Amino acid sequence: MSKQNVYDRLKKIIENVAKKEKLTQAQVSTIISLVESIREGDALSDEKLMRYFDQIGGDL
Amino acid sequence: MVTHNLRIIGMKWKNMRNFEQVPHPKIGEKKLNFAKEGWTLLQIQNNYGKTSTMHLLRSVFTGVRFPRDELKKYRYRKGRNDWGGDPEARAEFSVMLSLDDENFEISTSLDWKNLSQTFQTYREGLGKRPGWNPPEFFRSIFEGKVDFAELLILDGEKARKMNRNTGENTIGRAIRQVTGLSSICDLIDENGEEGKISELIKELEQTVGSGGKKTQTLEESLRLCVEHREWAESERDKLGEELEQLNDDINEIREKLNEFDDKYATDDEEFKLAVDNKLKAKEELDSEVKTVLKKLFNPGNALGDNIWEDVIEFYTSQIRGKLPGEATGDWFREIVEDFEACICGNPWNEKMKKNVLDHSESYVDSRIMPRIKRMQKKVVESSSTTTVGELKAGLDALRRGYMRASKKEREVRKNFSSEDRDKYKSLSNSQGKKEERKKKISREFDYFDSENRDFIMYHDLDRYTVTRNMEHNYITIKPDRFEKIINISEIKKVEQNLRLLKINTGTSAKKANGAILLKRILEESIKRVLQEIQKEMEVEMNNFAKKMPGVDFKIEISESRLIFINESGDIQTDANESAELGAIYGLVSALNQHSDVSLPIVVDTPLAGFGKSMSKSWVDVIGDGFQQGIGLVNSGEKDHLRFWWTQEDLMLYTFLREDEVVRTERGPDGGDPSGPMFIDSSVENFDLYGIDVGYEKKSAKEEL
Repeated sequence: MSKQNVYDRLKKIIENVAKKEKLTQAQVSTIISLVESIREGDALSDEKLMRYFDQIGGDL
Repeated sequence: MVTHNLRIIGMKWKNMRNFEQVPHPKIGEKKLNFAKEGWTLLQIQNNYGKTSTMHLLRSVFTGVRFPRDELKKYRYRKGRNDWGGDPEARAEFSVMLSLDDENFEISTSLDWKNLSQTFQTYREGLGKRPGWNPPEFFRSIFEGKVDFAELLILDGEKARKMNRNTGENTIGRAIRQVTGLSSICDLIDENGEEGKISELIKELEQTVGSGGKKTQTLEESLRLCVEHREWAESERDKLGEELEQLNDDINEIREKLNEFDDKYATDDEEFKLAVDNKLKAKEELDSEVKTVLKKLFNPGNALGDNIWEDVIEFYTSQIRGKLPGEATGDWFREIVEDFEACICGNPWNEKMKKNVLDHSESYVDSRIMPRIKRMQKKVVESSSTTTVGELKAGLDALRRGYMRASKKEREVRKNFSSEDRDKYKSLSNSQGKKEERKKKISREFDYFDSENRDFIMYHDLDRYTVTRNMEHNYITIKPDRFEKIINISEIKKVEQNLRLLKINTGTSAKKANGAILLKRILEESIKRVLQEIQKEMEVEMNNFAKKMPGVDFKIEISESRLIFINESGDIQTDANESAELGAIYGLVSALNQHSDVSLPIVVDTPLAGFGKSMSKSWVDVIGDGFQQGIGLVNSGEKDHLRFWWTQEDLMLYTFLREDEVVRTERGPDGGDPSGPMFIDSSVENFDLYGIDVGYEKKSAKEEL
């Protein structure tokens, strides 16, 4: 198994967990896109992470 | 498919141990090139520097310097000037690597005189610069991660270490590393350490001004909560210290009691027999208790033959009856594509179809089917082997046996002198009291320290945490309530919630809510995916390890170590060396199966601890498990692996000195070989090296 599979599994689990927590589709997509960008090797700066927080929190 | 490829493409030594300059600029191979795919075997005489090379590789891979007092070990061997090296010079070592399309080189220089070590890195386009500066991806995998590098640059010492509880979560970290999940894990709180999200939440808290009354109340509650958490942590630490002290005391008492037994056992056969019988009876009773528990978990035994046969018949019909081809997303796709109406009776429209297809894989996990099938098979194959009555009778018999043996031992102890009897009694009493105290303190320690949800809920440790107040996220903010909480993870929950509520009074509310939500989702998801991977790896590791003779136990993985479980279900604290190595090779191979990056493996004297018959198994386990492998072998191991390197296309190198007699590994006069060391790439010399040292003759004798 490679990271591809591990990440795909993680994304699926995130979707399921998020659904149980009643997150909106937009929030789920933002979390997935964060995971994707880490997967692609993006070293997340604090600022970027804060923007993710803002986006996820904004849909509450 | 892996996303990155890492390969070792070369190595160089200068004035290091027995290597004056290897590869030599004039004799033999001018460069040591490794097979990028497949295995390279380096045949190096014992004591030339194989182990040192492994340590140097780990240092170069991780950028971690050696302790200062170890640097002298790498100095060029003194008094060997006839070899051409400089015993006064620094020891130097370089590794050439390729990561995807980039080639780079990391060198290290060991100044054993001034006790310092430096690194240099060559990068294409950047040239050679001081410092440890490999490509970013390499850095993210290896920087400072010695325990991870040790798994890929592997020797017997590591295998032994993995079977001991080191307290470090080496395996857990390795799993996160190879799967590429570690960057996500860095965001969340794990194993008592705060992740990046928690750090940023604290930063957000700083952005809230002094604010109005509400903020001030929350601030005050937060202050009290932090104080309360610190109190709980100090109480936990006190209990931890007491536990440690109790363990020491108990061990000391045990030793003293054993001294009594030893003293009388040497003089008195009857006493020795009584003590041995009691121990034996206790072991038998313990073992039977475990067996009974295991058998009780077989519902066939608990339910009895009649009912269980019905259950088996039912599951047999289920297997024959074939459950829906794939109870997965495919099933939902099929009903959309093959039927005109939905199962509710309404004809499909595009919106309905889209909705079902979009969520087709959310309803049932794609791995559910194999699991159901496995469960059905287990049920069908199971049978009742005994009855509860029989189990009880067996247990009772052993318990009576133990009581008799204990009584006998007590009677024989009466032969002790009255002074010794008193001392023994006093020590036994003291041991009993301390054991009791330990049990109590242990539980209290767990009340404070446990993060296990089941434990927390079972002991009602979250009683004062939860409220019905939705505005407070159902978590208390009242000091008179949260000051009654003793479990630290529950107090932290309150503390975090107070921070969130406080931030919510400021302008960063949105961010804070997002951060908390993200942390919660990621923590739960990562926990689940890691649990799955760990279980799958356990299966793969056992499959690999089982190929090795001597591995007749089951191996389980914990975050920090390998746990060997023997046939009766007991943890085996000790395993022989070959079994330990078999287990670790199994683990490394399983890790590689899950790896996101195609990694090389370097093994030092891979068959040390194994007999000749293990060679084939070793090649089966590790030989095909990695795309690039480098083995540092001596001539004996070379012989054991003859079936491999003569049949497959391996790169073979022999390290030898200019006037060394190939067949004897000695000089022409039988003394130490002299002349500079060089690398020979001929298969013939690889084959003949050390052939007269005795391994071949020994193996011929074995065959006879």
